[in-house]
Amino acid sequence: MGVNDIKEAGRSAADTVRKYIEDVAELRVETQTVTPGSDEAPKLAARTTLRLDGDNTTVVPVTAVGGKLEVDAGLHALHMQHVQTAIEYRTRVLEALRELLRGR
Amino acid sequence: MSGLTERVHTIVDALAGDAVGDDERLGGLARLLAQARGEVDLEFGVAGNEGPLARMRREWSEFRARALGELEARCWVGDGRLRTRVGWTGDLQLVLGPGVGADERASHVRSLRAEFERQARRLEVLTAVAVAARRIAGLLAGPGAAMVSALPVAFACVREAHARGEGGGVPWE
Repeated sequence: MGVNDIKEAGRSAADTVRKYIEDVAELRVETQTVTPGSDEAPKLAARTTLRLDGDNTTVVPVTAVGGKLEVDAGLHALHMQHVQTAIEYRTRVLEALRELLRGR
Repeated sequence: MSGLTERVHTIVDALAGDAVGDDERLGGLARLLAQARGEVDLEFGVAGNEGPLARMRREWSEFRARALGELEARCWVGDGRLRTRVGWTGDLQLVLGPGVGADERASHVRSLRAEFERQARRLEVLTAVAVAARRIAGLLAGPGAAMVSALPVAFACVREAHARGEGGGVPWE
């Protein structure tokens, strides 16, 4: 392996790590609804975005019922279960990255 | 620190301290390390077969390509009116149709957790290789190529650590 190959390998590894860190900086969970037998594309129904800097947003659908806004409880519950599961997994991803950066 | 990474550190400690004793498998890793250091001649195989270090380099190269490909590929859990697309960073895209009952939902979430468990395990293996490679690179005398040379030896150490913890098998599966 020549010097240029080594430099290229190092640059490639650094780019890969940088990309991974950028990828884990934001966690996005989306819920879409579909109508069976329809050709329509799935419709976005709920979205939660969690950022490492603490900037978190959740958008959920509501329906006006008797002058009140109500959330679709079933959809919301499943969406939030997904969010919780994703958060637990993301914690393990961050632990792995911390392990990589830790000296021994 | 995961159990796998702890076992990897124990193995690298033994290699670094030249304390492999009469452990044959540690001895094999020590020989690989010595070959990567250039302290001993490469062992060429007979009848066209590759030697241990060349084989480990090839197996690491194959594993790396497969591992990174599988980790980055998004997969679907479930199908039809209840399915979720899963990314390695944890991003999810749930597609939900009408008439999905509570049991189906609960089962789907369990499947999702199982997929995340598999992904986390894969990430743990890759992390253990990288951590081991960083330490082994420090044991190699070469210049900038140390990390590149260390990775196949690190991969061998992780496989051994996995075998010692799990009793065999392939760490990725």
